[in-house]
Amino acid sequence: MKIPEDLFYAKTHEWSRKEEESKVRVGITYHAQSQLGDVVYVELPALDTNVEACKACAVVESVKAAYDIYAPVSGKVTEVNNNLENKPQLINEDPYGEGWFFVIEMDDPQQLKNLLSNKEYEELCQAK
Amino acid sequence: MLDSSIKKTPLYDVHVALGARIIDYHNFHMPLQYDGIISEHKNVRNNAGLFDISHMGEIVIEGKGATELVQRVITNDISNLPNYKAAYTPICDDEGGIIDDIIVFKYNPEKYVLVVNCANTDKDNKWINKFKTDNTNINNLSDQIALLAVQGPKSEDIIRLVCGEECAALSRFQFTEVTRNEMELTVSRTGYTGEDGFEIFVNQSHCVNLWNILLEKGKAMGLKPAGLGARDTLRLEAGYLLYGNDIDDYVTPLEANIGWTVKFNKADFIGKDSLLRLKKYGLKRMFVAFKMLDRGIPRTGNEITHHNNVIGKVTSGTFSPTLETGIGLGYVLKRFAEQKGQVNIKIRGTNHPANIVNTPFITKTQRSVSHNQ
Repeated sequence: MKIPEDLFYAKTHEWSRKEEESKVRVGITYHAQSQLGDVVYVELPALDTNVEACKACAVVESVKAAYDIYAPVSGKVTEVNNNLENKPQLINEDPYGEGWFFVIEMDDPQQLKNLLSNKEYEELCQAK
Repeated sequence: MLDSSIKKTPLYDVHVALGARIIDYHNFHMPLQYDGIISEHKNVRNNAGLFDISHMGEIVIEGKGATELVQRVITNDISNLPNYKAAYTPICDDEGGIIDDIIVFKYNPEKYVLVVNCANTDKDNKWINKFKTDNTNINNLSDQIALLAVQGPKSEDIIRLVCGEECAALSRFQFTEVTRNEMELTVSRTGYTGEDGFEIFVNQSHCVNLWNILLEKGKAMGLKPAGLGARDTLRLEAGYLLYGNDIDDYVTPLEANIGWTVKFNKADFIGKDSLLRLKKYGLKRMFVAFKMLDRGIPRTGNEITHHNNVIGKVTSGTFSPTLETGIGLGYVLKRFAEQKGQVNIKIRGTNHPANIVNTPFITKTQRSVSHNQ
């Protein structure tokens, strides 16, 4: 599957989509969900939690194991995808759309520069 | 990059061509999944799945002293087992610790094949050889024999089509030898999924051919490849133990709730004295199965707690595709196993409630419900 051009990528396989003001919507990539396999459970951060870039802030569980999801940028969680509670398979079915995890209001929008472009992320996936 | 020192089964290229995700499993490149663990799991419960389990070891014991040697190293009693029947048994050390759990195939009193866990093949072979007598031969044929499993409610029809009526008519744990398409096959009605099913031993050189014939003929009955991921969730729902997770050298069969495989009435066997002593003085911990009461998914190593006291540890845990909830196996202090009831599983620092239950986790009724969905 093609890696969307308009997103920012973390080395830990989260994508970030810049939205209005200083908000980013965050999910995991197609590559990440295909490596995980069937997602059966997601633990999301609570609303208004302050998360820190590169620190684990959510958990996604496949049949086989649990994996940490890292905040791509620092900031406050302003929205979480409650649909994932009953339909965690959305992460497999539509990783860049319906399968989003949460929205962060960034402390410092400059942090997006620390993330990878689609080309850089593609190289990272191929290097594996 | 795949490590070339790791072994492959004859089906490795077939798995890759099918798009399988390959993992290193005890020094074997094995298929974890093809389409996905949940769909493969459900296909085994509803139709049938084809597993490559050629990583399993086969140790042949032959000769006049074969029965005596087998009886000495296993805790179960195969003296009255009919020819062409198989039995599940642990092999224990002097302290009663489980060296391996295996299936013994009895051809006749002078020929047995032990099917052992792949991680233990060399360990078992060494151990058994310690007790070898002049009138026995022990051969490790693990690198020559491939093993396929056809598991699920449609497996009898598939086996009838590919291997013939005499194989389809086998009773549970019975086996037979047949020649089909110029391939010598040993077909047994055994498995590790909690479903009806068969396992087929074949020379490695015929393995790919047999796999292709099974898939082609079984297609109309819904037969699809299934990987080790589904094998694990299926065995867990059935409550079967996995060596290395649920049992090992530090656990005895009595604690592992497979005391029925220890036959104290037979002549001397290795581990007997220790196990008798343990039985007399009582166990400290006991094996339990538990089902989560919330959305938490238990994993190997999670603590089992009661009023915030640690009372045991999870040895296997997963999301049950059939029950759509977390299930697990583990050990707790004896009194908590006996009184059943509710415990907590500590997952990422948080207590999640679970009920201690009997295995199998899944009854036939639940299975037929999941068929209709």
